[in-house]
Amino acid sequence: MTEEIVIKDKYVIKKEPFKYTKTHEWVLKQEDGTWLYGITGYAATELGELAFVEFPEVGDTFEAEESMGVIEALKTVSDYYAPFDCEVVEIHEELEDDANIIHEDCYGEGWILKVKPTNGTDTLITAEEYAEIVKKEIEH
Amino acid sequence: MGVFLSNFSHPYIANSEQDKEEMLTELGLNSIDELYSDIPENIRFKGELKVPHFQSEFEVKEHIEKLLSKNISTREYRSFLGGGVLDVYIPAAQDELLRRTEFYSAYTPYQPETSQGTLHTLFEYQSMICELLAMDTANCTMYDWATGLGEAALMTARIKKKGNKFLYTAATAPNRKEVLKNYVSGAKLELIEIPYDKETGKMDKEKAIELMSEGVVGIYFENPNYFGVVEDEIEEVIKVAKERKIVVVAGVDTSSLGIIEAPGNYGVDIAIGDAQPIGAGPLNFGGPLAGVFAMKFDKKWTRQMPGRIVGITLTPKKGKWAFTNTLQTREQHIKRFRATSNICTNEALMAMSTAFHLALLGPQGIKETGESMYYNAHYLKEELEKIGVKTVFNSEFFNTFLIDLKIPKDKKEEFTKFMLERKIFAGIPFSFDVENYDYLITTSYLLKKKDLDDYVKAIVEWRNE
Amino acid sequence: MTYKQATYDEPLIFELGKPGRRGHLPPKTDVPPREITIPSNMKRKEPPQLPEIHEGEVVRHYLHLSQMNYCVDTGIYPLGSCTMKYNPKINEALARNEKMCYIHPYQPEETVQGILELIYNLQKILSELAGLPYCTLQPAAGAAGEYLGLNLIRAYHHDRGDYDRTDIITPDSSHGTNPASTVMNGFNIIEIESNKDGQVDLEALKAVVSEKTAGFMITNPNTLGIFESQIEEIAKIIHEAGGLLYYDGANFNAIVGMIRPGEMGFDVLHFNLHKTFSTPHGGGGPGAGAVCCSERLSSYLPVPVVEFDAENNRHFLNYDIPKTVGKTHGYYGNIAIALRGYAYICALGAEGLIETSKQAVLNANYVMRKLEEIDGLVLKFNRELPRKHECVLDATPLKHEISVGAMDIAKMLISRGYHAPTVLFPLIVHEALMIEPTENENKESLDRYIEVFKEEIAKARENPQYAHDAPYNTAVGRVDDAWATRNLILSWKMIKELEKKGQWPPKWPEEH
Repeated sequence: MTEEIVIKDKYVIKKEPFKYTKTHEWVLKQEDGTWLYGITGYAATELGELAFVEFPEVGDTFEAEESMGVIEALKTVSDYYAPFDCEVVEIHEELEDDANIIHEDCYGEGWILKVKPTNGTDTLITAEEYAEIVKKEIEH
Repeated sequence: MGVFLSNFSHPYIANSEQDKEEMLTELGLNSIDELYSDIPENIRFKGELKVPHFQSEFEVKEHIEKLLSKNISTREYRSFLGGGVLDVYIPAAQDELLRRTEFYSAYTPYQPETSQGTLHTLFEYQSMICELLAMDTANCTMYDWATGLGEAALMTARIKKKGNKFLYTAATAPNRKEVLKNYVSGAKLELIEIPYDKETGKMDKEKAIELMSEGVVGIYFENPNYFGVVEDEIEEVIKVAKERKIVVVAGVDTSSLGIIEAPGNYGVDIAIGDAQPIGAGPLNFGGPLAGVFAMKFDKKWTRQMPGRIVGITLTPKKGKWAFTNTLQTREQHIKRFRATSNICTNEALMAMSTAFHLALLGPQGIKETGESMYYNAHYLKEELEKIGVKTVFNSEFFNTFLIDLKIPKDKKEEFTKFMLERKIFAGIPFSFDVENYDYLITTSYLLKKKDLDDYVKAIVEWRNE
Repeated sequence: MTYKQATYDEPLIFELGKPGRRGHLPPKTDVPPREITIPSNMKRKEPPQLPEIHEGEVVRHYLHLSQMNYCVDTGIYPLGSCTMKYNPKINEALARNEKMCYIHPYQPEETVQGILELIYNLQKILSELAGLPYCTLQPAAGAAGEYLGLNLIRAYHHDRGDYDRTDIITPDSSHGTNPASTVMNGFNIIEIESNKDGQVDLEALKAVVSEKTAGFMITNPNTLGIFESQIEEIAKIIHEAGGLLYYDGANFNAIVGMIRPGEMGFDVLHFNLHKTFSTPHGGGGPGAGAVCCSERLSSYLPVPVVEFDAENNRHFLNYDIPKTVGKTHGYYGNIAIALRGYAYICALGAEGLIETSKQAVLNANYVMRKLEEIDGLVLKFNRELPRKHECVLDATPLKHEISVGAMDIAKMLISRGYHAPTVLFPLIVHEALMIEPTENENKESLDRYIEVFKEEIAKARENPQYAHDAPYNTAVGRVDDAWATRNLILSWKMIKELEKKGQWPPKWPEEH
């Protein structure tokens, strides 16, 4: 099982091979070269109960840090961003019927997209680096 | 008028001098002006406001009634004017309910538990609109039909994402065209007009199908259209739109829906219009109105519907239902620049008024008023034909038709005066060539045979002069 | 005071009535009936399923519903940014005048001289209060006014051939309609952070101003109730960069007749007649917006413009505005609502309007200082700065202490028969309570409100669950917003469909 960092007894961050973005998303490289993508436990917890996920379309391309879509929680909305320059290969349609799968298993069954990098993946950060970001935000 | 009092007291201001003194003392201040101490000198207004002095309620009443007395109402002269608003009668019971301060002086129900009156009534409004239009869901109103059309166009662009063209019928009311053009001017949406057939006044089907090409996100028609023509051949166009995955938007005359088929029953995705003709309110010189916006339910698409939506929900007490604003995350107060629309205050009380009206009229009332309008319009058309005045389009119509009067533009004013002398508002002038004017006539259910006969008589007299 | 809101188990009106009952006999034409020859594919086959009820039962049903509704005439309604002031009853009577109700917008102008004159008078008065010479009543609400005002700014820049001005700047405390209206106009929105005093951070502003700046949108006093005393400096920065200034008039009730936005440097503004000028909120509308602007924006006003022809002593609708932005409403705006605003202004006059603002400001400051004393509430941002007609308290300390936040406080207040302040706005204050009592409250009612605030928070300290389970005395207990969004049942039609599938009524979670 993947090792985890746990912050304040509630925010789980999975270590290698999971990688992260500064905007609270995780990615996991797949065997076929695509990357699985979702939002972190911290992001999900902060959003609270989810209402809907707006997806991009398969084939859409994005630059790193560009908004790919929107997650609607009950009282707020949040964009989710491209982890690196990429193309959307698959969307997790099941989330349309139940967005809260993200809460049940945000690093597994709660994946949102599968993307293909078009220009390398240098923009990613490690689990440890991401954990520092979360710690700083909590203190704020 | 008013005498300037040094200790100014007014019925709309709650505090007395004593209150002021006590509150200032508790705040440790000498005067209210100290609360304005942070206002820079430069920007304080030091002049004399050119605003009238205060008046007593009686004087205000006299003043406004005197102003209004210079108007002539449709209760005094016979009105053949339509164009999106209709001369309707508001039952006393409806107005009585509208005068309940619990309804009119309440705010948007952001605390639903104490605002079930508003929410429950709005849910009923939404439901009645859905019944009338054969749709699943409706919002709590847009400002009016015209802005509803603008919003619908923007919505089709949001739904389709890819594509930037919106088709609309040339037989759209001119004022609605103007608002549509304005609303899409900020988006990168190109408007393309679909011509109508010169004989029938109906949408040119071939042209419509040809225009429904790559990059088109939506198509809009009106039924009946601006000229009153019933678009009974539109289903072919709708079929192609659906094949090409183009959103079908229809603007309907809500008052016709007792007689004419509901848009949800012939393939329309988004139906818009105004509830004023079905009793939201009287003419009111064009405002307030009540923009209707309804659609079939779709998990994704309904989230793109602008405006407020009321849904039903649970409370802690088992079996006790309640109503609440739902899908608020799409609205401006949460989604801000990503909102489906900037609309906040809408026409909620007019929606509630519509619910009162439809509850009073019932299906029988809607049918009867529709029939009256139909009979009036068709009788008038025939009587005009007898004196040689034809309708421009030879198609089926409901309560509106365009007569081939061809008044030259330099005689238009004279004609208007002529008809006014006979206590008639003759209709909306419409010109194909800017040289000669035809008239668009709408017959409300308030007109009687004598009024229609008088209209014909007047035209005969005009022609003889 | 023991409060208990009426509670009826009032069904949906569709469940009332029986086939054949009628609530109203509409007038019928005496033209003989004839066959309806509309082709069968366009003829209504199934009549709409509307209620069949007699008049008395319709009235009863809606009367019951009205009794389950809190309103301005019930009690204090201190919603910040909404200005829930008293709606004078004479205005309701005047708006029902037959010669207001039964006039068609396309009647010949000679037959509507009265209403045109009223509109023209109101425009003049609003211009005077604005310090901006031109005015239109076409917007049907405040947001519509914002949208139109930004239209004018865009038209102005495009008319000068400048198509690169794509940015509108606004503070992060701004009302949601500001960014929404901006984006609808095709602009980019740049939100700048407020400084520690809750005001516009001039350095942050300078950092984002550029040749792309089309304009700046702000309300003043701002949504925190704090007057942007550096407004002249802000105006200078924006104007020097070539941008224009937009005034969101939602908070105008603080400064009527004492400060004119035109003299603060604003080029265009909107007023909310349903806020500052007492027209009823109607449970969400109809409102009425008015936009006032400077000379250089007047060329773009929407058509028609109501004008006065002195030579012939008549008012008329001028459609000859070559550079107009077109139309943003089907007709001329919510005129019957504007009439109410006009009546209000006539009743108060210049002296009354000024006194109104002063009293609104006094009341807000009084409430603010008293509520500030309550343990668990804090006045966000520099508490030394005076507020104007509204203030924002933060319940974050209380939330941290006992997990009771702004929404819980709101529910406890409505349970006591008072309306809550605006909660959770502006977004820059986490547990925001935005309070605007208006001049319609006096010292007694404010003291009562403050007392109840204290009592309820004390009860919450003793038992936080009490706060979480509130309200108790309203027609219904705390509604489940989450369930509503998860299940999306939005009409009776959808209920009928669920019934057919055997999914109605749905399972109820266990009662606590």
